Amino acid sequence: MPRMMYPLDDTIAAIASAQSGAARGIVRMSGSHVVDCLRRCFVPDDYVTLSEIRIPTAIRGTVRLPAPLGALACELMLWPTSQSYTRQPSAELHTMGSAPLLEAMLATVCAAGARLAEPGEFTLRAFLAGRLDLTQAEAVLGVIDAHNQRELDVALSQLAGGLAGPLDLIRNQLLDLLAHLEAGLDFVEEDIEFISAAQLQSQLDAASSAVRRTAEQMIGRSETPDAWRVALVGWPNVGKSSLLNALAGETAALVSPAAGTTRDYLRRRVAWKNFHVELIDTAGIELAANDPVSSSAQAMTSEQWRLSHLVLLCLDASRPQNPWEEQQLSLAARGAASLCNLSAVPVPVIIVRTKADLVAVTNDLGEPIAVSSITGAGLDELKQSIQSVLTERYADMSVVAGTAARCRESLRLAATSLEHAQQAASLRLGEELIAADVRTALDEIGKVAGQIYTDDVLDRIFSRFCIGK
Amino acid sequence: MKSMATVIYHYDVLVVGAGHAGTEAALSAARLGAKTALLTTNCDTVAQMSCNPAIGGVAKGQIVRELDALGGAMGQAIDATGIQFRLLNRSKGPAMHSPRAQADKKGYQQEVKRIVEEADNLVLRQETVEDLLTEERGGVLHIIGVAVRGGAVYHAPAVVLTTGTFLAAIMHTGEAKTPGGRAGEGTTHGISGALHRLGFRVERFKTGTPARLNGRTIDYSQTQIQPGDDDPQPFSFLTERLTGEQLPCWITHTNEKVHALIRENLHRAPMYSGQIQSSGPRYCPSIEDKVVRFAEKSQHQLFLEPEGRHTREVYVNGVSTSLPRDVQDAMFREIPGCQHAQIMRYGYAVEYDYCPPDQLHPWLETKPVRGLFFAGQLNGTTGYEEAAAQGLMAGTNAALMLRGDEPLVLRRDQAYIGVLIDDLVTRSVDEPYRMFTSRAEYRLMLRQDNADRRLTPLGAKVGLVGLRRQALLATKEAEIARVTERLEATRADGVSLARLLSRPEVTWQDLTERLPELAIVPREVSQQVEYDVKYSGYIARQELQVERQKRLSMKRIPPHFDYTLIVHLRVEAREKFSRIRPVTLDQASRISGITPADVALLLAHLEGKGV
Repeated sequence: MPRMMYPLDDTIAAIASAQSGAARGIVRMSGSHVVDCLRRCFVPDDYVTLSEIRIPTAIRGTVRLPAPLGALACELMLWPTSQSYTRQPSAELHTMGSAPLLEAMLATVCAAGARLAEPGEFTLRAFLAGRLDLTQAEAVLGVIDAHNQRELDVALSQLAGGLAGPLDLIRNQLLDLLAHLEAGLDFVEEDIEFISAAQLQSQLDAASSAVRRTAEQMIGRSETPDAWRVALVGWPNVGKSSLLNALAGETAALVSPAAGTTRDYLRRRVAWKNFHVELIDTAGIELAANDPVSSSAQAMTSEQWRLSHLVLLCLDASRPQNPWEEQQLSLAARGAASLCNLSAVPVPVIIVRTKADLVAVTNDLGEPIAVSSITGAGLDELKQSIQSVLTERYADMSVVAGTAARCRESLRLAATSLEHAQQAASLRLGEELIAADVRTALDEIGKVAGQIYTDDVLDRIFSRFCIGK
Repeated sequence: MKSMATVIYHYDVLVVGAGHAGTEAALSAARLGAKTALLTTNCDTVAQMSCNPAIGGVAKGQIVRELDALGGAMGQAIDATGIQFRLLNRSKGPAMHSPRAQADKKGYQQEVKRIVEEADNLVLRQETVEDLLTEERGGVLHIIGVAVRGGAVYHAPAVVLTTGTFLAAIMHTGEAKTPGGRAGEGTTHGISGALHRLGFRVERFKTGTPARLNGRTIDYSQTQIQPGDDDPQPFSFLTERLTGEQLPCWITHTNEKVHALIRENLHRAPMYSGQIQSSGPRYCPSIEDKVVRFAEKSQHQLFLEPEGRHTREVYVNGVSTSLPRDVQDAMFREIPGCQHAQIMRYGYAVEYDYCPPDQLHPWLETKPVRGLFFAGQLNGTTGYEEAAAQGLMAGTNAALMLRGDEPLVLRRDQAYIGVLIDDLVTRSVDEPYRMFTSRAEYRLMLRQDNADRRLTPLGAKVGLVGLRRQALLATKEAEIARVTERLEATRADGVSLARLLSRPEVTWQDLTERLPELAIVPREVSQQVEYDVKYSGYIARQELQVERQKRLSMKRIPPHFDYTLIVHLRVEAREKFSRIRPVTLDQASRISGITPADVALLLAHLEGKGV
């Protein structure tokens, strides 16, 4: 059991954004005295009385940091009532993503009456407030020591969110199977064959491989890859292959001025110092290019996004954007929640303007990065940007991996139990032994997806069979 | 009321009701040395089988063996009087083997009555209890006795209530309603009133029973015979051999004509006309339920079971019904073998009061009234075996309480009886509770063949079990140890015989060819050795699970813990914890609707005190 001996009512605060490199920094607070605390350290730009706010509200203002730092502009998101993640008055102070500034802000908030949160304490509160359901509970307990809220959010979306569906399906199938087995054991005098040996074997096989598949999927999701997969996505002939070669520093892809030269996936491993990246150039768009906004083109794109950790959306700087490119840009701008990768994380996108040598473009902060594969202009900036985006977005992979290890262990044990059951079934060892293994498997899956009780099994039996004399 | 000289009797333990729960309760309390009175409205219906004339069956048979291992009467009584014995689930593994016997209804009753009459410290008395007497001491209600019809009063510091289906009971046959808990008998109102007055939640269940036929009028040639086992196995560990002649049962079935008849008359069935509102058991549906819910089945099995050696009455297992008499008559005219059968008693449904068992502590004492214990159908269970098991535990704990000893609470990994009572007090019931092997998560350990090894030592410790049983077990254990050692020490094909035996395809018979002395090992010993070896992998895994669960069960919750102190607890969780008052965190985690978060919060509070 995690440590949980903290009071649950006092006001806690913590830095809730990645420690370094992020553009925005957040200090999060929760507890009954959030507003009192803010009144002592936050000055709204406009005239508002914090204690009179009753609904979630965003307010611009400043936090007075100790000299020499002075007033720091920030945006306050205030949840004054229980309508928050933790079901307590909560707040977030959003400001620049600078570690020293954030630490100073945290110190100020604490001086105003908040307590430094223990690792995982926000999630614990949310958990205890019933904001997380049973499926998520185990994931939460597993990551209770995670360092900040965002890591936890990611962990949850990856583990509970992403796996709840398949696990629930497996759990349901196993419950059905168990119900049939148990019916055969408890209701011997019924003239019903509840499940045939062949059915039993095939259902066990199906369940066993489903569990194993999910476990593997989880490995794919949760482990820091040995190389980051970066996909180059763009309209034919925008210069993706040239860019790949330029980034890789050698001629790898067959390059031709004619559109559609790249007919297949092309991968290139590169190491920038100790940073390993797998650059993926694809022919996907080309294949569907006849109808740029067709569903097949979309499906192709989604697939590429799904398989990568980062997408470089390449636009030809020497010509105006076409409708497909406009669409991609707007998706990227919206955070493209629908375009999630294997980690169930919205894929970060870097917009790259290629062929910069053909037009006069300069690199301004926050603008798409302009590169020239011919002159090498902008390449270093792009490499920098790729590294910082990946580091930031996937900083919490290690925490997630820890949780995943627990879930994976459960799935592994479930798979082992099901293998036992398969063996027992093939040796015709007796349904009570098979049932024991299926039960163990269900218990293990239950640790991730919610426990079962006999009542659940009996309900299934009675709803399907005419039992009883 | 005019003052009269009231007769007052003094006892240690009073048991109200002499059914399967009451008799075991009285016998066990008396065995522990408590001066006990067993009060019944009718001394001729002691241990009456109100429904089917059978003892045991899947999971229930295991319970009877456990009762016997703890010194209960049920096993010996059925061994002495049963008319057909079968070991069900023989084709499956030993954990599934379940003894079942067809009973001689009258013979069984007589036998239990005799056992009760011969017990020391025990008085069987015909009395109708009209009220429960309580007294408040230090803000806590204590039971002090009962008042009976005719102005007498029984005083005792412990009372075990086992009123079966007799509380505010109504029987239904079609449109006809009769007050009463069993055909031909009355109902008990005074106790119902007392329970309401004492603040118990009282709810209603229904159950049903089929018609009984005169066997002389059945044409068995149209049915299929179901004989007893050739080598019948006794229920009691004390019975060496069953000697009585075995009678067969017979199997017939319903058909589409019967189903059509039922469908046409559904509006006259109390369950469907709305006359009965309460819910019945799903595993024991009435024939009208079967026809409605499983319309695709063209026939349902019926078992024709003799009710005894000295009667021709036959119980028709499988057509429990509350349809009107004329429909019941017409139904049988369409059933093979029963076309000309005379109905001796019509089937009926009975509605009765029960007290949801989450009002009990795990030792079956009620939470509202100190010293008052409930057992049997009053707790929302069905079945003679389930009732007897609760009776034995309630009677034992009443006597232990008077001694000032710790209560005897069996764990889920120790006995079906432990599973039964834990389910009742922790999860309560929403249909009449019957035991299934699937309710026991440690089923492979809770076998009928090792009930004595699991429970007799526990029974001996509190004084439930006599010397004969203990000596038998000691001999058996010594022999098991000796034979196991021989198997470990003897090698064949480069492995020990024990290792050899662990292979699924190797039988005990194969071993005797390698080590001839094994041939004379008594079966009850060789069986134990064989099962221990064959199941060892599974048992080891189950034991691991038991260990894991034990950690939670070590965390005890103080008896008067105030759940309102945990301000963050969900309202539902607070309500359930406060009502059920789990004794350990383990029990708390099994309450329905309780989430891991609730348990974590409770744990946090118990450990940290600061939450």
